[in-house]
Amino acid sequence: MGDISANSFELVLFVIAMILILSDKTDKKAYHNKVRLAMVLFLFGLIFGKTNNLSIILLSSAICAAYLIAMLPIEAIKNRAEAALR
Amino acid sequence: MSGFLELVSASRIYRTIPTILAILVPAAFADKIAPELGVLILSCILIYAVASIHNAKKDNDYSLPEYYREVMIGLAAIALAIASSSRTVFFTAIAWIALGLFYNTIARRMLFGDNTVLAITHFGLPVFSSSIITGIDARTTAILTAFTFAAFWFESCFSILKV
Repeated sequence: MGDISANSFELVLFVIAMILILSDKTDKKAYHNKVRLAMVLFLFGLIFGKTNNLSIILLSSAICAAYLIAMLPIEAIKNRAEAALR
Repeated sequence: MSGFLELVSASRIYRTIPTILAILVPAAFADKIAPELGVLILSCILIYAVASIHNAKKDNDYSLPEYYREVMIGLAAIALAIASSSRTVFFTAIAWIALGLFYNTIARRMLFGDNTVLAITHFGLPVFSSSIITGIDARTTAILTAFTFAAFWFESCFSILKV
């Protein structure tokens, strides 16, 4: 059982999370998604920094990856690809 | 069919992912996964879907089919049935349902009511229950619960007030 002290990996994820939170807030929906993504990265960092249990690491990595895939701006990527092909 | 798809999108279950990760934080501190955590995660997903559909109806965000109420009751019943296998999970599920109703009826009209309830339902409560299930000591339980609650409370303040 560990104490709540940050290692470098957690700190890097925390900085990324803060950048996401403090970035552009003009699009409300995109901003809410960024806040949620920031929280996911932060919690993932907290889990990753505290355990050596492989099943916990794999489970949290899979959940994190699923969230990142769900958050992919597929419509925007499709529009950009179509524009590039035109 | 489109009504059913609308109902599925109204459940917005991908939003439970931060909560699922929060449930895994005490497991990481305890260095073990208890089977009850799976029950807690499943109940969380089902109850979140119920609250989300209720919220979608209140806000008129989606054109839900007429049978949405039956689906909500069914999902809540399944969640409670699953949760009844563990006393901790069962009481957590009851608290989730009560707080979900409170959020959709009263809390959103109160100053800081919405983010306080969300911080409890999304982080404080699941982390507390997960800590009890994984058997971590009282001091770490209190610190983790307070820490995740406060982090989300301030974060949702940013999100709600600054946009």
